[in-house]
Amino acid sequence: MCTGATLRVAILEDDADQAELTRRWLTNAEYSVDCYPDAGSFLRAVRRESFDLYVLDWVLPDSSGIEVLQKLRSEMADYTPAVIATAKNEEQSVVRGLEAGADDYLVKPIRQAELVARLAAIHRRAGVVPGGNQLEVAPYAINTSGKSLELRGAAISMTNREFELAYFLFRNAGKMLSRSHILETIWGIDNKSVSTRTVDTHMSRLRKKLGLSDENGWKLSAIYQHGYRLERINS
Amino acid sequence: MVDCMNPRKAIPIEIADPFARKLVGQYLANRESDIGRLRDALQHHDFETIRLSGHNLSGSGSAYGLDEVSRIGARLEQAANDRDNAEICRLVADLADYLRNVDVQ
Repeated sequence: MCTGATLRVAILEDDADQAELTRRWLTNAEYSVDCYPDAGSFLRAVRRESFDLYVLDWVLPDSSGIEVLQKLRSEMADYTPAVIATAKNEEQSVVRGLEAGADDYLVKPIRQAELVARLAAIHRRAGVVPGGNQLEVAPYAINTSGKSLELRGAAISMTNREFELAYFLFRNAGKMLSRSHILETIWGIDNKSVSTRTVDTHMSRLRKKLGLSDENGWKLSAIYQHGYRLERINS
Repeated sequence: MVDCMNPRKAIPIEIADPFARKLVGQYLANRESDIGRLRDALQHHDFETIRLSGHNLSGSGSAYGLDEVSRIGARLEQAANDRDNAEICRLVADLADYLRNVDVQ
């Protein structure tokens, strides 16, 4: 995110000590972290919530990280960036992990600074558009350094928060974003005074301000009991 | 009382951050309970349990600054794959010895 808003990570790790250590490292690096000890609880969570990154152990009590990743990619069409973190260091394991859809592969024991740097690199690749800091999502153009958004060349007047919210939505176009994910990312995880109704109010305002409609080829939908999804309307 | 046959060779591990020190302490306590489980698994020729323990140890030790735990874990995983009782027995003893002597400061 251009302003360093909190990123949300889901960790799938059955070893409680390892999970706690990784949580500590990533929390210190200003991530919001949720840990799940088995595939079942992880998959239930990602169906209900949305995240910016996954860190998946391979050897699990009820499944494997690879099976979870394959399920995410093929059955759930979930392309959230994912890192496999495992003690398996054989070449064929690395190949298998990457071919299953992982964006990176870390061999345990994980090193703290390396983990943080690799997650940052993945997120940077997920968010950066070639050419610098301009995101073209026609007929809109988003300039992240100037924090400006244009519709067919005409600037739209927005507050900082509205801009952050719009950028977050467009960067995750096609993906369901849960209300709590939006709250954590845009309003900050410690801001308990902000209710989910605030999200709804801002979304409604943003829909009007940006003209997200058939005419402009984009639709912002509320997903009942979950959150929101911004998607391009096929013409 | 000093055991002259097995004098304790303290292995100091210095950790400045109190929270990290607590995490390492917790990790070491959990590893100490692994010793009994490993010996039990060896008695019952449960090589899969030993292999998984070794795998987890090799993947975690160094993350806590305990490289010896990772080293022993990797060898334990291999010994379990090879079903080498004698090597497993030696490695469990090495691990117990290390855990007894490590001194988190």
